[in-house]
Amino acid sequence: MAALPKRIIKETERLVSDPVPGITATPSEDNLRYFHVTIEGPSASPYAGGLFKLELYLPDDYPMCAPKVRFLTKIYHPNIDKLGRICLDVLKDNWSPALQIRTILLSIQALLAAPNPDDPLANDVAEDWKKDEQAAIKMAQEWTAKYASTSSQ
Amino acid sequence: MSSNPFSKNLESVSDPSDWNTTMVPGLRELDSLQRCYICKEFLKAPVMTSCNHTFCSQCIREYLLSNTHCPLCKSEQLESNLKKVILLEELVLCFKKYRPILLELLANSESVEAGDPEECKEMKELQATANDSNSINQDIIEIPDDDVGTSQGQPPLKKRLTDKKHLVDSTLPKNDDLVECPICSELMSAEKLQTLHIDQCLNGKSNSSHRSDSTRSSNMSKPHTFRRKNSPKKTNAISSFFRPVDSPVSDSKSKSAKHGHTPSENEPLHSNDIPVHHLSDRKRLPKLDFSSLTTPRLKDKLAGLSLPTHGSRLQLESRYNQYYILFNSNLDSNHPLSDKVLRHKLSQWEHSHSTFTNTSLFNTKSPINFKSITDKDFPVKLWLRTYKKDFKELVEKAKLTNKKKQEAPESNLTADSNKSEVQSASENLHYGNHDHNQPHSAISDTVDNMDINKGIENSSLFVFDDSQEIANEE
Repeated sequence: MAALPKRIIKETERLVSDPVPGITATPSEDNLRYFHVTIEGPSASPYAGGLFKLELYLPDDYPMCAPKVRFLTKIYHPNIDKLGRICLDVLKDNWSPALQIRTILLSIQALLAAPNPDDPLANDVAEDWKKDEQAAIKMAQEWTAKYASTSSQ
Repeated sequence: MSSNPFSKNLESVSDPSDWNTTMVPGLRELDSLQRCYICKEFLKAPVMTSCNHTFCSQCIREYLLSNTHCPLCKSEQLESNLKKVILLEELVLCFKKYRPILLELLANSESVEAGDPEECKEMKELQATANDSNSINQDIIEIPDDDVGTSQGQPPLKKRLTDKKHLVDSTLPKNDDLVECPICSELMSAEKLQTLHIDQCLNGKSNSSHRSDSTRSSNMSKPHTFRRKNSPKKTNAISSFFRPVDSPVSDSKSKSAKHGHTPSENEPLHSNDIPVHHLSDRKRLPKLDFSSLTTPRLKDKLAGLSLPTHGSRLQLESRYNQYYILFNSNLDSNHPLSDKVLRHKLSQWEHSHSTFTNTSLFNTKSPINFKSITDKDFPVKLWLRTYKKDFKELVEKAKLTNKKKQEAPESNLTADSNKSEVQSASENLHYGNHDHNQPHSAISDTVDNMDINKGIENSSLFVFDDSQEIANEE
């Protein structure tokens, strides 16, 4: 296990002491590079009222490479697939070491508010989305109520 | 690091938020401006890119080893275009030096307020205006262009603080940074003595006479300049605050002005401790093209740098690259370390890096930690060969589940069972550290969770065409 760089300690401390509204990130006790994350669905989106669980891992080369993030809660979203993997530029090619955990989580929250079916990861969802957006949004709301409602967790 | 690095390290971690509890919380802006965007530490040997962004030399060199653009603005960058920023390094060093004192002083706001309430009020007003003009500075993705506002707001603030500092100066040993070398009895900073000089002195490097001249003459010249000023005490405080800054500036000017002069003529201008002529002799290490280099040749190169030559090919390459970064970034510092210290740093790095601590083919701690399967250079064949058995088991298992599902009515597939599967998968990911077999069971759980009607072969985990290869090899 690589030593924990000061940067990670700092980021963790700030995530805990000064959390982003609607987002929590707590480091695991036995692996400080592994975070349990929750993101509240943005209020003006089909995911409103949902609380989504994610996992986040900081690879050894962080911050030279992006954190690995995955949804644990099922979500109906054109850019998030069945395994919870997320299609987001800043997690792939557009990662920059000047970004950090909180900015990544904010980007994911923004992705929930603005699904982009033109650059899909889950093709079936994206097709539904393009065919009948209203129905797709309704479906996303149903999934949110079913899998991500705070009472069911 | 496995125990609890948090409790152990927290003390030594400095952060701009440290200023929040002082009477000048706005100093966190000054603090954060002097930090590297990559490592979030105070800039070490800062260098500027051609797009005018500043990073620690080591951080940006490491980044540019595998990328070709600026982390902040994404413009094309070449490592060879990095320019060191002498003044900034001295500014940061100076701030770092007085930071603990300032923190302590400003935390004890009571006594200061009692002593000079007017000044205090003034400072708070100043603070308020500074806050108004730029409150975003805390965030990390800011672009330095925003900083224009700050740099306008800060000088008076800083000046006020330096004025305050003469209160502290009496408690500080004036010449605390100068100690005598036990061998050549030259005066220099303690840090330099430990890290650089003593090695050279012991190795009999003979430039000591030159440098002792320079340090002495500069020590002599300083009191002169102080005496020339009207109010000795005040200027003393200010000039000591800016002293290290002044010298390199005048130095770089003189360098560009009288280009072509011999180093010895320039030397007296180096007030502190930079054996420049020695430095300029040192060439940067070249970037190696490993693909055209045989392992014995690579070992020769490492041996030529007095580096260890044991380990796998991958380890040799990362060892060279890390030393290449350390060595070249060290050249960007005004206070470079000796090669010996660099080699020590390298071995420390090796001890904490997975390439050297893990003996397995590749790091199998957990899939999420593992190099992404979507990466271009992902060793697909190796992966397939290693996990052939597991894949077979998974396919069997999946077929079985599929059968069960077809037999059972659709409604059995409840949300809850799905969710718990996903969660157990994640737990496996998470605890995968302890057991090499864990990751596969994690995958198997996830496989259960996939849309089985589409068929395993179409699923995202088995997208590579090489899946045929498994069958062929049997």
